[in-house]
Amino acid sequence: MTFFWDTPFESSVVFLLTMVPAVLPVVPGLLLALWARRRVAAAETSSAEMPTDGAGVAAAILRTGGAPDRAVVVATEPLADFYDPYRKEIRLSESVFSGRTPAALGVAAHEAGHALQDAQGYRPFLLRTPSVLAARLCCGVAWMSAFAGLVMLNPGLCTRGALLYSATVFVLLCLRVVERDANRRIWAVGPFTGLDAPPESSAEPFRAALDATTWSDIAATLPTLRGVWPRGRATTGPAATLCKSDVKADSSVE
Amino acid sequence: MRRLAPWAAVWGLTLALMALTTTQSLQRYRELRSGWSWDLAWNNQWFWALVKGDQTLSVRPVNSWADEGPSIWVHTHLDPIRLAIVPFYALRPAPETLIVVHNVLIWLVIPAAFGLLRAETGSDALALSGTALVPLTPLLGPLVWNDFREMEFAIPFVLWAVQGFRFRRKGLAAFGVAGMLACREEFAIMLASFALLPPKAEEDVGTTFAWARTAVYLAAAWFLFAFFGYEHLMVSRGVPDFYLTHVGEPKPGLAATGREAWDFVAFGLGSWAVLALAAPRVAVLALPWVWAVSNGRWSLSQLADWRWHHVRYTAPMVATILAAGLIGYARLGTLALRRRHGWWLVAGLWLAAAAGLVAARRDLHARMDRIDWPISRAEAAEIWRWVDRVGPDDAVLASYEVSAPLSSRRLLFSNRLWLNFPRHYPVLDPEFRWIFLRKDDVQPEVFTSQGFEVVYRGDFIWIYRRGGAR
Repeated sequence: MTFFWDTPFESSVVFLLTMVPAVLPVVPGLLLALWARRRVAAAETSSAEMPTDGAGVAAAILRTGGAPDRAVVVATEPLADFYDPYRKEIRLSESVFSGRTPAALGVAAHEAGHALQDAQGYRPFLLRTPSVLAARLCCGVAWMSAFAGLVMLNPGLCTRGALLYSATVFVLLCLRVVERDANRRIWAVGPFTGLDAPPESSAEPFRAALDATTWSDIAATLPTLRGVWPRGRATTGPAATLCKSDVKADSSVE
Repeated sequence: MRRLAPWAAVWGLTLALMALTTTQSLQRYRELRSGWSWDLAWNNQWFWALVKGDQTLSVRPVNSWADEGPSIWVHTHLDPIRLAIVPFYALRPAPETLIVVHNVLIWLVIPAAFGLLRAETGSDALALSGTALVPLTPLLGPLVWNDFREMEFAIPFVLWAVQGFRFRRKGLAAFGVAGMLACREEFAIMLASFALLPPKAEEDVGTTFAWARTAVYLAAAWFLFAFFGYEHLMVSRGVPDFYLTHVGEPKPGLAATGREAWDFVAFGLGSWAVLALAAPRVAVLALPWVWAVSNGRWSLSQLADWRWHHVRYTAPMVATILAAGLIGYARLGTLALRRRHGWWLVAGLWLAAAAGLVAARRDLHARMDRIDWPISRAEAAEIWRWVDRVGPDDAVLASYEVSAPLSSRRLLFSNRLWLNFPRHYPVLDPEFRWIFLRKDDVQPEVFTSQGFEVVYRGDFIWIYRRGGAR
């Protein structure tokens, strides 16, 4: 058996001639995902203090938008910051739930927008949860396939992985219609905090953060190293659940 | 004590079935009527070469994407369950050991089915009644008689994995999944499909996604890195491409596939297919396997000829439909028990299911009764007399039909495919002392001119011996 280090020059030439063309199909999806990640990251740079936290803004939007039966809960990965249409609850990560940055409020508000879509019977929303979950799984498989192809110097596996990745990003790009509609519904219910609108100094970063959330699913297709074994039976619990009234009681804004 | 009684009954049934079908399988083996003797010869020589030989194979099966051997580690499938069997084989290195192991492992489906039913229903009686239907599963008969097929061992592990996934029991799921994956690479695809398996209890979408992600990533990692990686390192760098090309070969049309699928589902699984309809979200996992086996890979009509041993390809389909059928039975039984005279309804359900299974099973057995065995029982007995005289170091050239009993040796060859030809064939090297070939395969002069004499002239097999043999 010959290894790379036995014939480094020949191996490099073979690698360049066979593997580089094989991974080319990943380029469109990868460029879009990198751009999306940059957009999301830019929205997270603002450290402006908002007048309420993520849970507060989500609960306020639900209340104002006519969906007060939806709960806002603290959740852990792998599926935090996601609206669960089956349990009718907004799952927020701890940092978003109690965060007061524009980015945290943007994420919380966006997920509340999905809850409004669900409550208002927006039919394309039915595609959102299965599509996003399938896309996340497909991305993982795509990267594994591409990586396996690179390790085994197999262009076929690389190309299949690259094509799957770009196809997945394309599906998520199409799904942005639903994501943008969620944000549109938020602005339609305004003034969404049920309180005063955010101070002028924070309004623009908040708007940018909200816009960036429509790209977050695409940005999330870039690979990260995380454990794959489920961490526990339940990722949420009653103690972490906040109803609308709880939010009002806990919020320091009033 | 009362808690142990159902399990005692289950293990009693399991042991009885193991004993019964092991006896039947060994009887078929002695009559040279087991699944496919050449495949058993290959499996036996693989274990024999590992335990007693020099880790090289002369019995080399042909595969669509790669050739097996000559090293035993140049293996075209990923089935590490073999390594767990090695200690048992080492106790008695012979094909009969593999046949016993095969029967024992397949009938673990009984406790696995009971565990699944018990968890689904919470009732020992209902679970026992459903478990009693499992031995009637039509395709289980041919599957247990089919020599030694690691692919078929996955059936109980699939049931354990399904139970583990549905009840979110990590230990049981890990055990089932490990067993499935150890049986053959195809089961990685099945594991990925467990992402769609509905949990028994309602849960948040995060937990559902976590389990789905585990199933898909583990399946992809096993297939891409473990299977393809192993094949890449040990067999050939082109295996992933050959494998994927082999999967994508032209297939029969929709109508032909549909007819075969109906045959498989109606006669191969009988009532389990109907019961599976009561658990549609579990039954949907079986569709790719029904499609895969019906789409030109095998046909139930082939149970009536020598190709019946390919019944092994139905193992994933049987496992998934059985799992769905058991869950369907549990649901219908639980519903029935909530009504007045519930146990009478359960009895009616059980009788209807049993009648369907028995009818389908009779049909399958009727098909198998039409197999035209080339070697009569009397001739088989005579052949065994000569097989027992072959020395452990003698090289043998044998027809496929009689190869398994001769496979506990270093050099066993055949004359069907080029891969199995001995070097210089038809001229045989001096270490060849015995030939067991079909009567009309080769002119006797070809071998008598090399010093062989014909010592047995049967209706199907002629046996040649050369000087120095006992």
